[in-house]
Amino acid sequence: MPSSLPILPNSLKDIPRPCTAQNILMPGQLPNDSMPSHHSAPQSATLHPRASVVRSRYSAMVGYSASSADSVSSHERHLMAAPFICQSSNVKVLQSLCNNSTHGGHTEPTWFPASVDGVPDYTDAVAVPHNHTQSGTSTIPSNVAKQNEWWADIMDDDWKDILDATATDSQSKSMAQPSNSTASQPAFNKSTSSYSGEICPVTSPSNNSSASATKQRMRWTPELHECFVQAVNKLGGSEKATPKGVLKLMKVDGLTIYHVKSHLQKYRTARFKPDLSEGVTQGKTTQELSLDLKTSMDLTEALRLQMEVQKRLHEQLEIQRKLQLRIEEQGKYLQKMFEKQCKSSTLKVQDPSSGDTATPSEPSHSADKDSDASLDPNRTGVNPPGVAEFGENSTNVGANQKTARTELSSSVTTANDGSELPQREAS
Amino acid sequence: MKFGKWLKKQIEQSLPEWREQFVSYKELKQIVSSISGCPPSPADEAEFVALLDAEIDKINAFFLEQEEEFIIMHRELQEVIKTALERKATVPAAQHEAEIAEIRREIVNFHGEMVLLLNYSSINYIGAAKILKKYDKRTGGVLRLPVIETVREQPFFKTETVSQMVRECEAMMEAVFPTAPEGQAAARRDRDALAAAEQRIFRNTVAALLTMQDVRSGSSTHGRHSLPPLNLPDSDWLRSFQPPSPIPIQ
Repeated sequence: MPSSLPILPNSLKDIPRPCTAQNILMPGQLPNDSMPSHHSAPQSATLHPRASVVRSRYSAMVGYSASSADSVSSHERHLMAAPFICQSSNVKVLQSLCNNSTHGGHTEPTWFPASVDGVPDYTDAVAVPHNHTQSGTSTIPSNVAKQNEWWADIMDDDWKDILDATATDSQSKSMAQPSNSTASQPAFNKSTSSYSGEICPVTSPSNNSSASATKQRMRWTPELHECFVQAVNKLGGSEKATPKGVLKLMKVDGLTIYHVKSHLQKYRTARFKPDLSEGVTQGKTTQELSLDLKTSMDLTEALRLQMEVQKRLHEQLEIQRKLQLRIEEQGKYLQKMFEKQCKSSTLKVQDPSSGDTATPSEPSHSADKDSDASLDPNRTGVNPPGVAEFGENSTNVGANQKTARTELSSSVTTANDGSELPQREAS
Repeated sequence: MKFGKWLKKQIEQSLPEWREQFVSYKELKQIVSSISGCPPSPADEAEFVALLDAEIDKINAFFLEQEEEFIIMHRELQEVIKTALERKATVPAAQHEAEIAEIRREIVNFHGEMVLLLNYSSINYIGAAKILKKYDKRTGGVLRLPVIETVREQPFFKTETVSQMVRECEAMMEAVFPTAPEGQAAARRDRDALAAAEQRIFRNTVAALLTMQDVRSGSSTHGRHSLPPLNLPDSDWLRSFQPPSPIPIQ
């Protein structure tokens, strides 16, 4: 089971599930034995948690009717501010919220910050909003035909596959129901837009702007790719396989032919790149080959060196990342404590910015689950002082901060010193 | 070193195709500087948020695209290794060696590219955090905390898949690299080191490490959300791989 990133509990949303195996279910059969070992089960994208999160987020946003900051408690402000950054669609909506005071008629909460929601991340290829894709059977023929024409105009020949898929495959989930789509938006766009996993479309629902910039980003995962490769192989290889065929074989909820097509394209070009076992060396004389052998030995050392430096960078990035998360976490924790204290006691804490290192409690513990050993001394170091002293006045908290910061630095230094990077002898 | 300058340096030293993909920090800063109100007007705030939003979109798109290609490549590499090892008995030794050499090169470069993508993610995150801090400072707003939290939920920040592939790459090395011979002449290593240094991935990696150290050295705005200073014990050695830089690194 791969280690997951620390999952920050967030008052704004449901606690995300652990990222890995639960999200992308494939109703079809997936050859499990050939799957990489990371994840336990085939997955599919599901939407239910996302839908509820989005609705709650949406209602929070509606509450924001341009009220000024100070009339709102800080908690609510966080709730409202958080969606800001997600997608430009949110901004547009927010602006209109600012301008109009009423918002009842807002459609499609599913367009809202999917990327902020609780549905986790990496393995989430696609998610399917249930209210959009109760599709399959009864596609209204005339609408479909109209959509097909529209598409035929602007797409190249390869897209005939898509059109075929729509017309013939009554079970196809790749085209959402034309009956559900708003008039100005082509069904295709609607469908891809609905299947974001953690992804939002760029265009907001409130302005049915042109669908051309459908920035639908699918997130491929190793498992999904494995499924893809199996399908391609069954169809006779990357050259022979067609997007439509692959899509059918994969049977992944919410995967569109568009996704498959672009992925297949990438796959084909990648195939040619590592032209390795293709006998690049065929036709060389034994002499030449043995010369190659000699230089390759030197090269190996150089490569090893390069690898070492790269590993170093990776290690540093990981450490830095963990630190960033913990610092933020502790900041949040302090904030919460501060608010609680403000409410419950008459003690006025003068300077909220002074302390930051109270006890890392539960949030930290989940973060520390996969922290490396070098961070552990730090954790135990910080715990005891924080608990006892946080309830007191701010100067103590400030002192804690210094202590903790030193400990953080020293733990990082320890991590550095402990590395195995070969040192230069001659320096 | 100021972040804007540091970012510029990182971008210059990054892979050419990536240069346009970094967060447009300067542009964001310009917006922040031009905001006069305190608190900011909704229009100003919206403008800032819109740009940041768009930047995040851009970063996400690039990251996911790269990730997808890495996933494909990762699997291909594994297949190629398997095939090459299986064929070991049936092909001439020299050819096998050549194949293996090529594979090693691929592994190391692939590993490097992935790590650089992780670096990219980190740089952009830091950029976002800093610009938000600037915004709050300038306007008395409270965007930073909730928004940076949202940023942490973005695909480009969730790098576990790539990180996992990096680790697997390191494991792949076991299969194709000979066990490290102990007594290497120092001269030979120097020569090899120089050869390797010319490879741009390697160069970028070294630069990334060193500038990471620089950006985390003490600064005037060190605060409770800042990372502690980074002291790489072998930074001198790393620096020896770099040509002398016109920008003094303090």
